[in-house]
Amino acid sequence: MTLLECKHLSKRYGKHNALSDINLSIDSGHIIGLLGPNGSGKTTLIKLICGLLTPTEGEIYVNESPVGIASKKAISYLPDHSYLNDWMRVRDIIDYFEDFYEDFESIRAYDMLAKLHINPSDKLKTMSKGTKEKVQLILVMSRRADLYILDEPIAGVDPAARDYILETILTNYDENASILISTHLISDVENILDEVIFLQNGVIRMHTSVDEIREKEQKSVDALFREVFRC
Amino acid sequence: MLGKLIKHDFKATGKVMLPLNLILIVVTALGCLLMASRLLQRAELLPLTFLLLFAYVMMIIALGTVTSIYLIVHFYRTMFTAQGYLSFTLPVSPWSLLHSKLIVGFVWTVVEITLSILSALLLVGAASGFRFSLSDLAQVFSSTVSLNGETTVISTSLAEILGYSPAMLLTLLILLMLVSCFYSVATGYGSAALGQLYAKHKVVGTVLALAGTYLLTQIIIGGIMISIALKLVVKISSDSSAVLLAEDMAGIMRSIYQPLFPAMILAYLVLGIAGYLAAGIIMKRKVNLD
Repeated sequence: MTLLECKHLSKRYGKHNALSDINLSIDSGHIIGLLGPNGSGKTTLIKLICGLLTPTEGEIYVNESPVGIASKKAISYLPDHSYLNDWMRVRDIIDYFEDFYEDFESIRAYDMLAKLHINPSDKLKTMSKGTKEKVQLILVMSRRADLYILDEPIAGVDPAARDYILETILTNYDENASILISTHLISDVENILDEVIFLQNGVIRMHTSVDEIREKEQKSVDALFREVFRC
Repeated sequence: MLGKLIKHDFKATGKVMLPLNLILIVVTALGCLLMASRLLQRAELLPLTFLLLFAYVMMIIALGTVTSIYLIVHFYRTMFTAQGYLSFTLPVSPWSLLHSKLIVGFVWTVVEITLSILSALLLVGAASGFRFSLSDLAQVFSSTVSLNGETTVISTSLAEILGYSPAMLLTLLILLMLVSCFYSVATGYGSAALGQLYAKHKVVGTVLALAGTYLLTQIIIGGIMISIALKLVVKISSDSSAVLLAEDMAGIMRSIYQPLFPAMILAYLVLGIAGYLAAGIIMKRKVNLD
């Protein structure tokens, strides 16, 4: 079943084309890497899907619904920066998510917090950047969503934390759901990906399965990425 | 979902708004104690009395200003900065987001203004030793207002001057207060939404939109006053009798005040609705978070 569909999607900022004529279809039950160098349009595409930007042209459908209440119910989104109120306690944020998302499982959230020794009574402003990122990931992965969109989930954290984050992602998503991960740290995520989308200068250079890359190109995704995007 | 949005927004804004209102309550209580002590009625303390009165008035103005600015900043931060990523990914419509912010902002503004009015009334009451009754108040509205000039003494009821019965006047004043609270919040949010349309310098855009709204409001209110005054001038100049009798004064005042209140209420309502629609349409169709 098609979970996400983008039709002739474009986003322009003045004269600059951030995305041009993107046509994309993602099915259920896949982990997809959205890969590309800085400024290629990864975050713009994600923000358009999440309804944080208005497209200049084109349409987006999630579970056959346009961007709106239904699509937001289906998507669990992790942005590339903190979007939570610093004065809030972790417990308050969990209550907030529980109030708004029917598919949010607070037991799972508290369980993950306990495993990481994060006190739910702590305020976010007392936490390090890495701990805040972990709290956000826990919130996002505690939902039973159809589509998880994770924007740079492992950027800016140490390798040990990266392993934990990837493990959290893999152990907490429903197999019928899909995950779209945007990153440029390809070697770290390569092993968990089913498909990759290479984005360059706002256009899709390649959308294929990881198996196909390995069979046809006889290369790892990381090696192919370096070849395609060589400066 | 609207109820949940309102609940969480009250929680968030209460952290600033409750202490702000508490300041006013504490200052009022202290002021009442000071007034009741008759300490400030001593002639040698007159400069201190004026200083305290000035500080009190400044505080009331500052609290009103801080409330308005804080509510706009809160709206801007939770909608169009990093926190907007959470707001706009909630499974609610942009209109619901706006309605929750409007209701919360409106309630805080009404609370702040009501407390300010009650504070002033309590201080005046404490200064007079609370030696007045409701019948005294009714008298003010009926027939005891006297304007003592050097040569003329006019004794006319306030109801005759304003052209409204006391109940109607009170209703209009409350309506004007409520509508101006809605106007203040809605145009503030509309300006913040307009400001975020700028690709860069969104805060500057918001400030410019706020200044523009203020200017437009002044032009409209000024226009209303000028049109009422012009109508009056035409009426007086078309009157063949050159002598203006004292009893005509009430009629002149009445022809100013009678249309003024409804016109101002209508103007604030229309401007408020314009701000509300601008904010809602932009949030629905033009949101572009950095």
